[in-house]
Amino acid sequence: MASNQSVLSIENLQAGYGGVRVLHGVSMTVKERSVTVLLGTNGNGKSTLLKCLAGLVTPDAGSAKLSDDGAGVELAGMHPYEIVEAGVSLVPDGRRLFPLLTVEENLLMGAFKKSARKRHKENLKSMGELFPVLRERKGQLAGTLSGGEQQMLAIARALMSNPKLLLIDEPSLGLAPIVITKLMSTIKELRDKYGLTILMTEQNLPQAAKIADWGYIMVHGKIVFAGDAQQIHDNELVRRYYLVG
Amino acid sequence: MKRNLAPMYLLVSLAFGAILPVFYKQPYFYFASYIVLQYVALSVAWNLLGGYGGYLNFGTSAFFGVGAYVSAYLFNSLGIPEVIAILAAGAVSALFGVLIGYSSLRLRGVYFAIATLAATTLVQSIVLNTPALGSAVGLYIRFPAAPAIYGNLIELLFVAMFGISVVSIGLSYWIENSWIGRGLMALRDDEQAAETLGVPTFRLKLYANVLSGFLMGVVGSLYPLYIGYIEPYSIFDLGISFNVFVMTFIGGIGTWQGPIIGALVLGSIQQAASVTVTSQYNLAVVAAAMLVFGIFSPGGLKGIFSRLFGKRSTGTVN
Repeated sequence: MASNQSVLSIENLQAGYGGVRVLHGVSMTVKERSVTVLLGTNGNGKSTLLKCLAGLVTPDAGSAKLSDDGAGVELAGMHPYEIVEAGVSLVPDGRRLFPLLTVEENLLMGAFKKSARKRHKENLKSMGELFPVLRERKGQLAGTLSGGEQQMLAIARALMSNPKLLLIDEPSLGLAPIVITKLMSTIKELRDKYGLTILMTEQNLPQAAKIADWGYIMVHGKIVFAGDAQQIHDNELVRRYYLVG
Repeated sequence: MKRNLAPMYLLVSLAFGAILPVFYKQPYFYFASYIVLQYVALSVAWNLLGGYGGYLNFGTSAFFGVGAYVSAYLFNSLGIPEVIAILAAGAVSALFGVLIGYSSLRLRGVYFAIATLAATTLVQSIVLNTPALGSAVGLYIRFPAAPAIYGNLIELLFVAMFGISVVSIGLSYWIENSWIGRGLMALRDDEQAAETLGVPTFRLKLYANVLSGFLMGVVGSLYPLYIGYIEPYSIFDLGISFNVFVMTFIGGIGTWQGPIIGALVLGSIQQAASVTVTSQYNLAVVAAAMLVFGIFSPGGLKGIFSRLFGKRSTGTVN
């Protein structure tokens, strides 16, 4: 399932907002065709890390290399649109859909980069297969979807650019437990069937641990634990760090 | 389907504008229509950044004025032919758009609007303190001779402004339906979401600002020939910026039809009011219309049409 090739290696990444330091030297790797979960409670820097990777926040120091068929692409310091071109797509915190556009129009907005624009028709079709509910509601305004459907749409929209690395920021935010279970199985399906590499942040440890291959725990802008699926699930340390967070 | 017909509409309109003065001779019609068409072109140009991108530029008169002064100076002092002076005016105004864009397009919302207001005052001060541009006294323009097919200069100016309007409308229609327009609308609705989708937001805003500035400069470059005399207070008049904003808003902001409708309706009312009542009411008419539409139809006239025919208007007002 998960291979040993790493798609993303982050080394000693530091970032903050103005004078406030948020990330104090984060290092982690994301392996190809894996689901890597970054756990941590509110305010520990998970979203900031994803924003750094997507170019929305410029890191002060450190590197984040995306391996592109052997060659490494340095993401730190690139513009957001260049990062999308390079094959990294972010599903932002709180989904950030265009509420007054239809489901289909939202999806088409995801295919903004040139190479994706050419393939928008086939991508639209495969999104319909992956998320049947979006196909049923393609003419509906995105703002009228339920929370779970909106999250599905946000993920599908990010996939419209054919990313090789998908970053998902807190997918379970504000969703009912049963919807989260469904969502997690969809994310798992993205890895198993489509061979995608996924890095997601989560607060919901039990739900995320079910599908994660690798897990990291972040506390106050530092990685305090790294391990594989089994370790995250069993480790007493995890629970302690997590609860202390 | 519509797309294939668009160039034909464009050519037919241009031909219509060019031929009209040959058959219809009524000097006042051209005198008044010129100003209405000027507002059509300015509003369409304004809508590129303000309507699609949601960045409200209150410095229309700065771009317009830069165009007017560049063409007046080149034409008057250096004797450069009008056509070249007009293009040069557009180019300088576009360059001004690059400067304003680079310095202030990182500001969002009301801060950008304030920066553009400040830019107007800045350019006005520069002109006021430049003797070569006539300082506060202003510049008189020597009228060029009218070409033989048109009876007088005003007819030629009408044809030129008609052409500029039609070309601006064509550009606006193309942008609305291209990836540039879609990117601008995406960043208008949610700039950060647009960025995560790979929209080069800053570059698109800059493109829109520069193109909009170019068109406003070209429009402004004809004004000295129309009015015969320019001076900084009437050229860098905030009333022009305000008119353009309200016309676009009332017609339907963020749609290619909106600014045309708004400028034609309000511009004509203003011209009629100038003759029948007094020109003092120009801005009052506009302000009243702004209030009424703000309360009853934020989507403008285009929004009313769209609602009547059950279509969704593409423009939104935040």
